[in-house]
Amino acid sequence: MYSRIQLSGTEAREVLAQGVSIDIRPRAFPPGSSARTGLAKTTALLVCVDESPTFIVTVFSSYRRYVLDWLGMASGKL
Amino acid sequence: MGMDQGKTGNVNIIGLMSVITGTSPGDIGTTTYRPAYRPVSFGAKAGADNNELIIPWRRTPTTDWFIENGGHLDETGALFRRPLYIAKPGETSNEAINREALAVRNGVGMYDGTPLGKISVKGADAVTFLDRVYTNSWGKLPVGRCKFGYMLNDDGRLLDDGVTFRLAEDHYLMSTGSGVAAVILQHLKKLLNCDWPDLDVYLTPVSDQWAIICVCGPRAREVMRAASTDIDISPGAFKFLDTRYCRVADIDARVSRVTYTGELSFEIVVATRHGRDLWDALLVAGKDYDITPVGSDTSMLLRTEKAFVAAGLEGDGYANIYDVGMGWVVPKDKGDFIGKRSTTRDLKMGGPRPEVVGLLPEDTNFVPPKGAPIIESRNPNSSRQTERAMIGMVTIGFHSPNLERSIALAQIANGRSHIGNNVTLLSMSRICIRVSSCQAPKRGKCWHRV
Repeated sequence: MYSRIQLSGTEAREVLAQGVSIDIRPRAFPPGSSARTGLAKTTALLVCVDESPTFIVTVFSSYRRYVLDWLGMASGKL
Repeated sequence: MGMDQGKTGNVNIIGLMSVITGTSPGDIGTTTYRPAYRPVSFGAKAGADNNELIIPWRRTPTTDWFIENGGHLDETGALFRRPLYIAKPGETSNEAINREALAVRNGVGMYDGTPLGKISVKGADAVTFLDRVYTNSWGKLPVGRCKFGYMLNDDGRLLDDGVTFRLAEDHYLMSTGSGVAAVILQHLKKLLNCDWPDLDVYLTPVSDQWAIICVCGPRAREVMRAASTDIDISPGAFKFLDTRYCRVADIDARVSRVTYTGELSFEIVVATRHGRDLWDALLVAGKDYDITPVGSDTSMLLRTEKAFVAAGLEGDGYANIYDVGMGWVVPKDKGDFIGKRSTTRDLKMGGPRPEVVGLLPEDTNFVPPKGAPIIESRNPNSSRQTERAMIGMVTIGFHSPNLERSIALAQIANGRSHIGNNVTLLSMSRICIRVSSCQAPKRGKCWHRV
């Protein structure tokens, strides 16, 4: 079972970039892109859905709390 | 120059070199500097990897409930933190484990088994595949039934054990140990991709899809009925190793008669998102029966009481399936399977083999510590002080509240030949402890009713 987390806002890319090893800058990862990638210490399916930008981060349910805590930490650092 | 890159030794070495060569330190010069030029704090390296984020802890649907209700959480494999026991206010760990263990044997308990590894096996050659990776045969397993299997590696050593269910004509669901779920999936995928690409078999890891709550104890059936289980669960209609789709507490579920504790057990599997609802509903349904949440330390105590072996504890890198008393999982007429050649070789080579036996200390309050060495007991008729070699070690020990005495399992060279005799256990303080008897673990036999 998976948990889907929606992340949006002007600094969403900066938040995710701290934990993923792929290039998610607009020119490499525009809306409509998707990739399975490492996210912090787990893995996730990353989809960029719009220009704002909005990302859908899909993780295994057992890692949901860890990913939420990590996103909270990564957002707080900006 | 080592890990300080010459920061501490450089000057001294230059000084010594200049004395030895009769030149000035300036002519000797320094080594080539490399980063880091200045000390780097550990914090800079660790970054945000501290506190709760240092390990990506996984959670089951009931983790929050355990945190709120006195669960003593610890890592129990695959990054899951599970309760070892659930202490009531003012209760010590031993008191909690004893209360939980008594509840399972005399009333009813329940635990969260969600971390168990689950692999879906589909395809026309599923039976051929299972026959090759397990020591036993899978062709005759009907839909709606399940069976215990042991998996060996090429060397004939224990890899994993677990129950596999036949859910439909072409659909099997394999359970693996929690800590080895990823390892077993890799092992099986490697076999399919590299060794047997001709087999029509599809593996899907589904560990995160399903939550497992297990209700166990002599009153488990009453709790299942109180939770409005909508199938006939009477002993005649729902037998040991049956598995059925049904609804429990208005939640779509699959219920199986399998056990880890040796008591009447119902393993309820629901979609992960309904796991907490099921847990809460069972707490309500079991209230009149004083249903007791049970931690994994208690489960270990309960399986030790029954002398059920754990592949990771009683089996080391040397023990084979016969050594741990699981020879019954190898049918005589079985064709080839992974590990058969090496296991057969062990049998032909003969002993001594590290066999698993039970221990009953003479001092019923002495709990044999895990890993304690065992030597042969001295012949009381002999006055000679002879050096005695280690013949085995304790694999797990507990004080059993159900047996009202200490018990243990041990791996001993030719252990079964010692059954009924005494052996000597060396404790940390090098005091010899007499062990009154060894008892062979018997399948399904309850130790404390023997």
